Amino acid sequence: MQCATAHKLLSLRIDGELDDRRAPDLAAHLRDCPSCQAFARELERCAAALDAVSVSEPSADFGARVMASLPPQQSTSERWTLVRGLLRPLPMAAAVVALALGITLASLMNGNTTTTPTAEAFESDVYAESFSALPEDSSGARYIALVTDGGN
Amino acid sequence: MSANMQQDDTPLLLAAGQGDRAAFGRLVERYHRAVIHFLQRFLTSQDADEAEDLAQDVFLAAWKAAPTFEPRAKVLTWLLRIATNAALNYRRDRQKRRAVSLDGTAPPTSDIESPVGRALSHETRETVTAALAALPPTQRAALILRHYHQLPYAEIAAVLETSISAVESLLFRARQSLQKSLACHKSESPPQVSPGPRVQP
Repeated sequence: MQCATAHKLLSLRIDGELDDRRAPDLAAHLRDCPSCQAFARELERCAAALDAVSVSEPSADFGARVMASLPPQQSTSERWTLVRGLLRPLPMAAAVVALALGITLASLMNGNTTTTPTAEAFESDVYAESFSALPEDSSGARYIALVTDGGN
Repeated sequence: MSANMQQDDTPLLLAAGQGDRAAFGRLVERYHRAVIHFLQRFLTSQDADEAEDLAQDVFLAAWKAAPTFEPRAKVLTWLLRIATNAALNYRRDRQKRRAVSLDGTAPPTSDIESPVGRALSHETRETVTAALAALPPTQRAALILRHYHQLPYAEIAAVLETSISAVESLLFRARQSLQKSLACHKSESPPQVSPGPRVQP
């Protein structure tokens, strides 16, 4: 056994974690290795020295201070209500975006079959076509109006 | 580790997760010493007096996280994981603050000592405390969890979110560093003190 391996096993031994399979090998090595015997003594000395690190008793009112600082716990049902509340606007927003994208794509496909306009003309044509194809009241029409006129 | 901590406190923590403040109060009562003592030993001597404030933050975080507690973990392991993360974050923030302002703070007084601790000189106590504080944070946490809290390797691995073989390595390197640090002060320590009973957290 190498001394480096013996050192690692000594660390396990001091924690009582050295298994029976490796213990005899370590013991045999220690019998013949004064250097590892010294290392083993040093490890024990250090373990004992750690007991010198002292701690102080917690304040008597620690528990009371903790309990006074606790906010109300949210129950599972409350958390789900919150999640549902946060998610509620999403379907409507997603529908509006999907509708706008669909209209834009459809318009693109129609436009591409006939001419190849410049970018600006293409964009305004797409908006105009999309807008005219929608009922005035629809979400899609409101979205297009927002995109085309909202900045004006 | 006290007898109280060996019992199954999972139902208390699950009840706390449902908003049962009395159940959480019992957990605070049972575990606050372990958490505070872990933090006192982990923090450097200049910061040890902050341990109670940090422990309060740990229990507040535990209260908030209680609804997500998974009963696979032991309550103490779970609390010490929160405490370790809090201590590591505190240390990082502290280092940032020290980079801006270097202030000398008197080391705190300590009240609890083991029989071995009482036998050691004041200089040795300071040397050991400094040697422990000089260890890299994860090595220090592993050594504290093992030596003072007697956590099995598997639970230390759970606290530090690492493998058992990594824990073995952390502990070995921690002891090697400690042995080197303390070898320089051999003349100040008593000759060959055999390992005595551990200080209970």
